[in-house]
Amino acid sequence: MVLEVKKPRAMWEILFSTHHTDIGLLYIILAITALMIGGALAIAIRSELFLPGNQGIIPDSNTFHRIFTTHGTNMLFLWLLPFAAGVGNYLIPIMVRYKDMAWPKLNATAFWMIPPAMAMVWLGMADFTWYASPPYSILKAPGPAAEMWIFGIKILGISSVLGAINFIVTILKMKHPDLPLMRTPLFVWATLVTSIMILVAIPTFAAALIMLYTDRLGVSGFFNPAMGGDPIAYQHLFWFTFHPEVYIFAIPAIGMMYELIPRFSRKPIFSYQSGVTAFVLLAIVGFASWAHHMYSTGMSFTEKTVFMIGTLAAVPASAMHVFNWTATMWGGRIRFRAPMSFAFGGLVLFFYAGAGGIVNTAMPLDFLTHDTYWVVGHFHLFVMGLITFAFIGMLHYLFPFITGRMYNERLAMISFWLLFAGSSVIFLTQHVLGLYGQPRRTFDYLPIEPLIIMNQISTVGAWINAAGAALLIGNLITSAIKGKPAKMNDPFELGEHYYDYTRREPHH
Amino acid sequence: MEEHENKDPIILTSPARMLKGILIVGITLAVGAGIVLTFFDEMYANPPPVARIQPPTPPPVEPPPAQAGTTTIAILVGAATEGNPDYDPDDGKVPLGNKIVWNNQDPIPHTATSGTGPDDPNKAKLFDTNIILGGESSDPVELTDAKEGDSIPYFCTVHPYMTSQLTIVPAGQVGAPPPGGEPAGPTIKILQGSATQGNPDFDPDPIKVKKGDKINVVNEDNTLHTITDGTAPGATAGKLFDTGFLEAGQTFSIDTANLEPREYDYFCQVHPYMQGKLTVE
Amino acid sequence: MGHATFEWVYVGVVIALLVYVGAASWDVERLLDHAPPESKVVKVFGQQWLWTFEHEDGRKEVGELHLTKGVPYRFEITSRDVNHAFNIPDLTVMMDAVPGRINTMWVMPDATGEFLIQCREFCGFSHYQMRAKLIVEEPDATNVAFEDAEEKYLPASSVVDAGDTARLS
Repeated sequence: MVLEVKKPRAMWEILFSTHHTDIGLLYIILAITALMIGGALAIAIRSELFLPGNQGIIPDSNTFHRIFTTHGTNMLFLWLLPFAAGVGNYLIPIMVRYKDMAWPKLNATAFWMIPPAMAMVWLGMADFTWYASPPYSILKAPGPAAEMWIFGIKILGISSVLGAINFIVTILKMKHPDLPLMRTPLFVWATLVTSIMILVAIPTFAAALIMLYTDRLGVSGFFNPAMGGDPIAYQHLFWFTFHPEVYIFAIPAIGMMYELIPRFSRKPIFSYQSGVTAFVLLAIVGFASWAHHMYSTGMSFTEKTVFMIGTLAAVPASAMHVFNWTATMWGGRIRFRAPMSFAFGGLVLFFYAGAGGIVNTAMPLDFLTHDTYWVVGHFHLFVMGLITFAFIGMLHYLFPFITGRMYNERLAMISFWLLFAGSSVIFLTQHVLGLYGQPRRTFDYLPIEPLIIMNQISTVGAWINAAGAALLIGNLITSAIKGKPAKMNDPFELGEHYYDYTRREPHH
Repeated sequence: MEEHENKDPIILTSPARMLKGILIVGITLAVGAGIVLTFFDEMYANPPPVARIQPPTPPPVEPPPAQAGTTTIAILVGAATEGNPDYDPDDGKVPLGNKIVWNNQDPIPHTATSGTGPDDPNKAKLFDTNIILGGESSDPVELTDAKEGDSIPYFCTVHPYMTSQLTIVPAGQVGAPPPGGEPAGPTIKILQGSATQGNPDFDPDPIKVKKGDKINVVNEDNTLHTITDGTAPGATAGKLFDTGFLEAGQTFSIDTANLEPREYDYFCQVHPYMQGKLTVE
Repeated sequence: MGHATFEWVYVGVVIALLVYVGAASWDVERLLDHAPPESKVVKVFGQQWLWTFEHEDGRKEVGELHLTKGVPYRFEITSRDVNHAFNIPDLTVMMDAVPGRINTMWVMPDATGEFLIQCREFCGFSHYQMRAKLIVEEPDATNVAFEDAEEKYLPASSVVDAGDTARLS
């Protein structure tokens, strides 16, 4: 299948292009760059925490706070979202049989808003954690870093919304008239559902950002108790957006898994309908659980019960996806090339992440885990384990189609094993570390044996990850420069069972 | 699928194009990194605007009468905010043999603990006032084994960026500064470094006094300043009160007996970005 | 057995597990939610970056808290500036300290000794070392233990078996 049409073009033609493949490529390059920089920050954090006391890698707690805030903000908004948008841009018009996105110039605008926003977030390096919770962010966080963060995130939110609008219109209105929605690939469904969630969720936080800014100026007191405001109001607004947002991060990755797993298993998806149902269910129910992040803010028993039920209700949808993938792989002649390995590793870590999440959602158990390293381990298993692995798998899969060359399979598999081992070690250990009570966002910890050992194990895992990431990026770059030309009709040698978009599912 | 298959020839990415792409990204990142590293501290320098609008009002402080042989150091209002002035005087000159008392004028608890910071292995070995609650004074601290010329750093354990030092001077030295925090009537200090725009300028700011009070203005900076009523140099400035040019260390007394009870803006004629507020009740 | 039967069974099993987790949580949380009316009140004030406490009898403590074993205590927790969280890991006490609001949490210390109090909500520069010491003392003439404290306040279905927690002090 041919994805990329290349005539020799000048670089600036790609930069100023409005064609969906070019913009997709720009998104992907920006996202990978952000991933590497954010990863470097993470290595700095973990190296500093190797031993208690100040190791000198990060000079003081202020810098530490600025580093982890930027690490989180960067990874979520400059790696996860742009990469999903990039792959979406690249594939969706092809998958719906249209020539480009619905509004190509808007598409380019949405992309080019990101570099200035990235600059704002990076130059400022605010210190109030990626939550930006008041009253600290209003009363104490120094500027101009705080204001730059607020404006940067605002612009990124607008970019997200513009992209979402483009995707929805492309999928629903520009789809080829002979192609019913229920025969489009599941990645199309994933993107559609994600885009609708973006439209519903993001405006709430956009409002909260403005309120945060005016509170900082002192002209309003939404979240400032001295002016009659309530800091918990911000948390509700924040989590109303950002709990659905974590599904917005995850659903494109799940969609990508649905592309990779059937192809490399040489079997059709076990149940297309169940996939669609699970996506729609997750999107709707995902809005019913936000305050499970706020169990310890002093909510009443009834409130907490409601949100616990809402959270638990979203679990069967994720379970359906895991079942679908496993059933797809069952009995298939699986080819464990790099894309499939990453996808399968993602599936395993997704399972652990979800299991840990069930602990968090149990109201009394949350008091043990809230704001400790358990939570850090839990969400990283999602964003690194599921989402990043799915994305990297997809990146390897698209690599021959984009560059015309093949990456080095052996190096890619080594990088997969390094990343899988590293991520498991780092984040599973952090679950235990959290149970010992070490809080998150701490520059230092008590010098007692269990904490030291677990921090060290976690740091060693981080260094393994760093090696894997270095190998990965080195492999991709050198292969793009001088890799073997790929066989364009079947680069992964999946044979006659190579899953074709137009093939009808045997069971439906 | 046939009707949609693209018949254009594929051309592989060439090494030259890939390298060009890497250069575009790499140079952009390098420039960005340079900017980040250059401006890293400036991006983080200013307290949030709201903190400047509503500084906390100081609690009424009754400092203990200075006994013979006691040096008093004030912990200033707003000391808890990083970057604000904290201890006053900041390089306390303590005559040999004197005890030291810290007056906490801030509503927030602080300490004065010997050492350079929380990582100092010798912290609290020489002295530690423990927590001084807002509005209270510490117990007198005696420095045993101190010699003339010793310079003893200390900090606040709750807010470790509040650092200062004590210098031991010969006993009975006349140059020992007047006990800080013991105002004879209201005082406005023109702070050291206030000539630089953006640095804290007047302390306390804003200040409330009663009509009839005599405000003692002290220029603690090393350059000329004024306190002149108004907001900018011009014909209308200085009509109600004006200290005139004060040299470093000079003082001036502003008599508020003839001032209407209201709020007054004042500024420095030499450095007009230094602005303050005076309320006469 | 249709094609989809296995999937329905699987989803049924998942839902059953979740219902169990939800019901068990609801049951335990009920007990945590209501402090016994005879609890002694301790006011907890968090501020950047230290903890202060006030007992019912007016005694104030800074950086240290003395409690008596066998007595149920209700903490009334608030903050003087930004968000903090009052956390005693060994007694699984955890509740946010939000300025402008008083949150409550109750506990009955069942072992004497020194325990760690730490802040568990990011609050700025010295958040990572915002700690205090909890000292639980044996009951004596002035601090009388409550009758049948173990049976009344440590129900069999409690989440944490106090003897097994990792002591952090």
